[in-house]
Amino acid sequence: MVTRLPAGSLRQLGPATTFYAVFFGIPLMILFVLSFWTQQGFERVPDLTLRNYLDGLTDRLYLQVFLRTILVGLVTSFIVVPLAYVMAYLMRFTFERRGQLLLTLVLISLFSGYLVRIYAWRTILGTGGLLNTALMHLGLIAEPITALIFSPWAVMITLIGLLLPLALLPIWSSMANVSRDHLEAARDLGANGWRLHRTVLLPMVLPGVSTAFAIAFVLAAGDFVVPAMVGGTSGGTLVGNLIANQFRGSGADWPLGAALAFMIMALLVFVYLISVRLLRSVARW
Amino acid sequence: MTMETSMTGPAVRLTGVQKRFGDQAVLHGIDLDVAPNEFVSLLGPSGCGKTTLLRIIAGFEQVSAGRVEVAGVDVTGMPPHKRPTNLVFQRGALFPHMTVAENIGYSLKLRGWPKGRIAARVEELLALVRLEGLGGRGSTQLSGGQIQRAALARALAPQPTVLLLDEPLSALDLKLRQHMQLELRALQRQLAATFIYVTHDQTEALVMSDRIAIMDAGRLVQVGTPREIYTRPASVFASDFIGETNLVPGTVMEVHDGLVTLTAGRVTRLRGRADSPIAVGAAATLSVRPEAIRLTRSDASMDTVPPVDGCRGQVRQVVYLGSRVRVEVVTEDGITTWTDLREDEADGLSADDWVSLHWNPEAASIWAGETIRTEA
Repeated sequence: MVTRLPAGSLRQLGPATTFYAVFFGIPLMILFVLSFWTQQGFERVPDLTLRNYLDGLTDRLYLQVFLRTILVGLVTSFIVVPLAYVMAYLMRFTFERRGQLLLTLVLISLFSGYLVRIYAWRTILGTGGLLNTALMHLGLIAEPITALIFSPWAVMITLIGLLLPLALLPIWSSMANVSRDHLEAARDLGANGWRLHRTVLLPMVLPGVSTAFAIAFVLAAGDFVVPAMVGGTSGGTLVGNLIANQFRGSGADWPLGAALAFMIMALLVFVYLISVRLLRSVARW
Repeated sequence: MTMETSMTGPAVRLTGVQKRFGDQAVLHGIDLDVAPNEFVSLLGPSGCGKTTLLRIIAGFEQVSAGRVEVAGVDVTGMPPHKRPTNLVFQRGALFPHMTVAENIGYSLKLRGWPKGRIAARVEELLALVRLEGLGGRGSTQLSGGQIQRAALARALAPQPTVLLLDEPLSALDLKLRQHMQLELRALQRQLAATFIYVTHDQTEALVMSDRIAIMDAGRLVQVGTPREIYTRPASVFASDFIGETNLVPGTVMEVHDGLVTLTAGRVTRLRGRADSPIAVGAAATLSVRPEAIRLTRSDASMDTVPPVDGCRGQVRQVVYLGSRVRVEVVTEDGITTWTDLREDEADGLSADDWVSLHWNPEAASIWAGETIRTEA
């Protein structure tokens, strides 16, 4: 669909466009050029080689991390988005007034910093943490469950906790436009349960759900702080960590890091498009 | 296209239906039978419980006590999607992600109808509600009247035993509303369908209904044909809510064969019929329609005897209403009344003229109790 912008809108969008061009577009282009260079010792030599990309595609370790990243991203967002959908539904249609209060609480949780919330999850999941202590006091387990922290599971649980509020907001705001009459009309005409959601509510809030999925998937797959802090060394590493490592320390290889960044970007966009298409086919009446 | 009309019992039977929200009682034991092919309006001021009653029949609210039967089947605990009733919502509630045709065919698709059959039925319904050629439109591309037509077609699609309508015309402007009223009425006749229609608009109820059920504060006040309700309202509330009326408070002076004479003020004697028992000396209220009052000119001399079935007074204003003229008269005892006349009857009448008002006592109703003026 071609949308004609109203006259003067480009000028109005000017500041935002300029900001993006300068602080996102230009660095991205520099990074793109860099991805064809070669690293020789501490020097980055201008070149025009696909070796960095080939390295990324052929190295078993890299492929494994790519796969894990996509998997963590998908699993996380496939848990976060339905959870957010159910929460938004309850807040909008079951709790009504009190739902607004819940939304405020969710927003407040976003005010606390990203790192603070990760640390909070560490204290919950750790061997001497809240969850283990509680389970031991209840006599359900004798030894602390060590797999709760420093594992891909810990990464996923923490990511779910961090991303749930972010996924909730777009879905909730889409649902604010759905009136109770629409749901009642669907029930009245013979739909209930899953069919009601698949044929009426989900299609009506699809833009919000897609946005929530994009946020959850991209942030989960692109995160490198959570794996570093609760993922441990035993397989909790995601592409983000791998890329970050190429830009710091003695073994830094900026061209390789840049190539990895572009590869994961293409991969994420690809997986995202497939997922949204899948979602659209489910939300058909 | 006709609907199933082989029922023998009532299409809907409500028995002792009560509804409480928390400790607030909204419906106090409603009993009502709606016959097959009947158009019944639930009429009352906002907050009277009429919409709650409709939602109970649709299954969106559960009764606190009582029974709901549709076509002889007890549906009291049945969820909405299993009931043979369909509801037309106040604002249509069309699904915005579907075209008009998809909206109308929705219930049929849920029932697993093959595509060709759905398409044929949708075309039939589009023609019925006069939306031919608009099936491909999105529901956001329709006017208010078209939205309600589409919503009507959507609700009729699965051939419900009873069609429930929740003030479907209230959002439309007057001209369109009047037009749609007649159209809905004709449609209901054509389909030989059972309609239960909720409205707070008495004209709408009068125009469309076979019977009107007047509700007030969670109770049925009167159920009857529009004519019965207009000419013999069962209570002050009913007389005031349906149509326009003059309410005069007074004291019962004499009761004879159901005809009651009231005294109101110093010299006014008024007569009317009481359908319920009434005692001499009790406070009572008389209701007489503006068009039932006849007006004759009289001279100003105060020594003439006041008319038996009426009173004497002075014209305060003459209001031109197009098809008729409304005259405000203040009686000798200071009671304000309104009388409707044809234009020629009011010819030459002007403020401060002395007139006498009288009416056939059979056309006036009297009930025991003080006048409680209700705001419709």
